[in-house]
Amino acid sequence: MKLAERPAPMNGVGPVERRDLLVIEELAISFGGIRALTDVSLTARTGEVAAVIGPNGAGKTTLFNCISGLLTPDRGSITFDGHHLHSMGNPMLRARRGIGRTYQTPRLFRSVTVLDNLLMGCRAANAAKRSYDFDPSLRSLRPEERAGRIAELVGYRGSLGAPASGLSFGEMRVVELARALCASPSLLMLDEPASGLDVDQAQGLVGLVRDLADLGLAVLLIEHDMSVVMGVCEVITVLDFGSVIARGAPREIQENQDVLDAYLGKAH
Amino acid sequence: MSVATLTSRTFTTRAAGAGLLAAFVLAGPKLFTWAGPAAAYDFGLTVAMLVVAVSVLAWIGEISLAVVAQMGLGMVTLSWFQDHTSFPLALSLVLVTLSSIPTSLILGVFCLRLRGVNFVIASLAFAGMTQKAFFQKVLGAATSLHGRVSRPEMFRSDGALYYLIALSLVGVVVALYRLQRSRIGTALASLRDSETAFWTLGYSPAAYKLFVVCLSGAIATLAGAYYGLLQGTVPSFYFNPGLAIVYFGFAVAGGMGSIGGAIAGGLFFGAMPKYMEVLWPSIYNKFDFLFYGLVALLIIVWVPGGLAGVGRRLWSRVEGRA
Repeated sequence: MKLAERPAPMNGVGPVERRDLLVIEELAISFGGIRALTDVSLTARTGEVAAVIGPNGAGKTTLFNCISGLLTPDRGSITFDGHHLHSMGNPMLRARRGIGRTYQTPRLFRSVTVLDNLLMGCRAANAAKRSYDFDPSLRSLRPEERAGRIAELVGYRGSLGAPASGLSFGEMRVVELARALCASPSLLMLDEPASGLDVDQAQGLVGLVRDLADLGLAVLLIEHDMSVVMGVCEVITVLDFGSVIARGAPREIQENQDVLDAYLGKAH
Repeated sequence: MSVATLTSRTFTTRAAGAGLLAAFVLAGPKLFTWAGPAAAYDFGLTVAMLVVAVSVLAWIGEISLAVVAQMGLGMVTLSWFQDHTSFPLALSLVLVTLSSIPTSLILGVFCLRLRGVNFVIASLAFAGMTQKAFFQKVLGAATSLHGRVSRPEMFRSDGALYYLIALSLVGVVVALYRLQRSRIGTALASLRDSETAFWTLGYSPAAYKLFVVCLSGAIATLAGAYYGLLQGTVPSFYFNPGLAIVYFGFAVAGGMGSIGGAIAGGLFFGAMPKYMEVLWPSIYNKFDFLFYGLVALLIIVWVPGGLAGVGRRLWSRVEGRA
C-alpha cells in the first residue's frame, strides 16, 4: 500500500475561500489539581492545515477531546462554523455538524469488515444530511461506491470485505482516515496520523492531507514527525504543559528559541 | 452469501442441517418421553428464551441480572390481563411484551449512567427491590392463589403449549438473526468495539443501548408469560435475583452474545435438571445446583466460546471448511 499512489481526488473544485471554521479562545481544563490546558487559543481555517505540536503530556489530545466533545472544558469558548459548541454538548451533535477525527491509536470497529467501517461513516453523513463539499462527485454515488472511492483516495489497496481486525497498523490508520472522510467532515482532526507508517506512507499522507485542504477541508493535525508537520502545515501551534508557547509559520517555529528548548531541540 | 455462491457440499449440508433442526423442533418433547414429561422440555424452552434475553445484552457489552425480575413481571402482567380483560391469548402476549418497555427504560437509565460491574450491581439491586417490594406483595411469600395464570383450552396439554412456545422462540430467533445482519446489527457491533469512535462519528450510543435493553426486557418478559402459562402459579421466591446469576452462567456456557448458543445453553441446562429429577431422583435432588454448576463450569473453562463455539467448529468440519 502506498498512499502516494492514490488517484487525484480533484473534481474541478476551484480556489478555496479561506475562512475561520474553528475558533478556540482561552480554553482551560483541569483534572484534579493538574492543569491540562491553560488559556489555549487557536484557529483552524478552511483550506488550511494547522498543526498542534508539543512534547508528550503537553495537552494536544486533550485539546482534540475538548473540540470533539469528549471532554467539557472548565472555561473558554469553542466556536465552530459560527456556532458556539456549548450548545452542542455531545460528540454526536458535533460530528453531525462536521467535526471528524481520528485517534492516536486507531479505533476501528474491529468485529466488522473494512467496508462496514466505511459505510458507518457514509450513513452518519446521510443521517446528518452532509453533502461532501470536499468532493461533490461523491454525492451522486451509492454508499458502497462512495466508500470504495474514498478508500481508493486514501490509498487503501486491500479488500473492502476484509475483517478490520486483520489489518496491519498502517492499514488501520488509513481505513480510520477513510471512515472519517466518509462522514463528510468540514474539519478533520488527525491525531498522530503518521505514527506507525513507513517513509513512503508518511510522504503519501503529506500529499493526501495537502489535497484535502486544497479541496476545502480545514485540517487540524497532531504529529511528532517533523517532516510531515513542516511539509504540510501552514500554521503551527506549540503546546507545552498545557499552554501555548509559540504560534506561527513552520519556519518561524523552527527558529523559535522557546520551542527549540522545550521540544524540537538543536537537531531541527 | 447467496444460494448461487454456495458450493454444492455447503448447500447440501446446510439444507440437511435445516431439515434436521426443523424435525427436531417439530418432534419436540416427544423425543424425550422416555426421560420425563413434556413439561420438562417446555421449561427448557422458556429458560432458553430467558438466556437469549441475557445473551442479547452482550451485543452492547453489558450484563444484566434483572432479567428474572422482568420475567416475573411478564407472568404477573399476563395474570392481570387474564383477570381484568377477555383478550385472546395472542393479544395478551403482545401487550405483555410491550408492557416491558417502561421497566426496561428505567433499567436503561442505569445502563446509560453505569458500565460493567457497576451496571451489574445496579441491575441486581433493581431485581432485589422488585422482588421485595412487588413480587412478595402480589404473589405472596409462598405458593398462593395470587398471580395465577390459566391456559386457554387449546393449550391445556404441555405438548400443545410446547408448539406455542417453540413458535414464539423461532420468531424471536429469526428476528434477532435478521437484526444482527442489518445496519442496526453493524451499528451495535461498532458500538461494542469502540463507543468513543461510534459517538464521535455521529451516532448516539444512548439510543442503541436503550434499544438493546428494551429488546432484552421484552424477550425476558415474554419468557415470563410462558413460564406463567406452564406453571400456573409461581411463588415470589422463584424470582429471586440470585437465579439471574445461574441464567447468566447458562448464557456464558452457551456462548455469550450468540443466539444459537443461548438457545442450546438454555435448553440443555433448563430441561436437563427436570429430566434428571425423573431419571435419578434420589441422587439428583440432593446435588442439583452442584451438578449443573459443575457442568457449566467445565464448559466455561475448557470450551472457549461455549456450546456456540463447539457448534461452529463442528459445523465448519461438516461443511468442509476446517
